[in-house]
Amino acid sequence: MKSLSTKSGGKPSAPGTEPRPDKSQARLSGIRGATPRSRGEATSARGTSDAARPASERRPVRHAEEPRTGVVRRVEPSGWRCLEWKAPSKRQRRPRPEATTSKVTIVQLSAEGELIRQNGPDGWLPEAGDFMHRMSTLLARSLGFEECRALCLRNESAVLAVSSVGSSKVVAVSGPAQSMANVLRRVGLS
Amino acid sequence: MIVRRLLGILEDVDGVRGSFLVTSGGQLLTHAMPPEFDLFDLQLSAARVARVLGCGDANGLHAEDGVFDFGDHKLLVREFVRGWLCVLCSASVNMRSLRLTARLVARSMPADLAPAVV
Repeated sequence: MKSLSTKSGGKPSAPGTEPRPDKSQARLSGIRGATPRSRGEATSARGTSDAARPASERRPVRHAEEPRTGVVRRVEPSGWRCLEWKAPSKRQRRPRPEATTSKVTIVQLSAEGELIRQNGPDGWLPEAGDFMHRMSTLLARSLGFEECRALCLRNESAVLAVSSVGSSKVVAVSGPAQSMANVLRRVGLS
Repeated sequence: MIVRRLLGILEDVDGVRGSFLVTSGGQLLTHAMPPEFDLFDLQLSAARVARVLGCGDANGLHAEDGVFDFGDHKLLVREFVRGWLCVLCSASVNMRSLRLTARLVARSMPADLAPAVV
C-alpha cells in the first residue's frame, strides 16, 4: 500500500501523499531523468491509487504540506520542500517609496518662464521658480556676475532648488529635505 | 563696531571675499565687501536677496539658509535675528567650514542693529 511519487522524475503523483524515506526513493527523488523503477514496481504503484483503497487506509489530503509555488520539488524524509520559489513580481522586487516621491515637485520651465512640464503636488512652484530664477539673475548682475546658475533654499524640513539647464530651460524642485539629499550635496548644503 | 568684527571673522575662511547684512525688508544694514563693489549695487543686491527669500517665505518655505551659485562664485545666505547674513565667496570655498562660521556669526549678531551703511 505504498503511495509512490515516481511520476516524471520524482514528482509526486498526488498531493498530500507522504513520502517514505526508504533508500530507493531517496535516490530517485529530485533527480530529473533518473532511471525509473522496474516495470513491476511501476505497475504496482499505478495499481494502488488512493481511490482504489478502502476509506480506512486513505490518507487525508493536506494541502498545506504541498507548496505549489515551487518549480522543482524533492521528496525528503521531513516532507515537501520547495527548491525554487516563484519569481517575485516587479512590484515586489522594487517597491517604490511612494510616500516620499509623491511629495517632491519637479517643474521644467522654458527660459521665458513658460511651463513645459510639472510633476508633483506644489502648484505654486512654476510661478515661484520663474520669479526666483529671474530675480537671482538680476542679483548676479548687480554683484558683477553674468548669471545665477542655481539657487537652493532650505530649512529643517523642506528644500527648494532652481537651476538653469543650458540656456533654454529652468528646472525647479521642491520637497522634503530627506528626499532632496542629492540636491543639498551638490550645492554644498548637506 | 562689533558687527564689523563679526563680519571680519568670516574672512578667516579661505575663499571668502566679503559679506553684508540685509533686513527682512531688503534694506542693507552694513557690509564688509571689497571696495570694487559699489554701494548702490550692494543696496540693489540686498533688495533682490530679500525678494527671493520672501518669495520662498510666501510659499511656505521659510529658509534658514541658502546658496546662490554664480559659477566661479557663490553667495551663502544665513538667517539671523534681523534678516539675512550674506557671504560672497569663491566656488572652491570649503562650504562646511563656511556654513559653520556663518552660523556662529549669525547667532552672535546683536538684535538692535541699526542701518549703518556708509
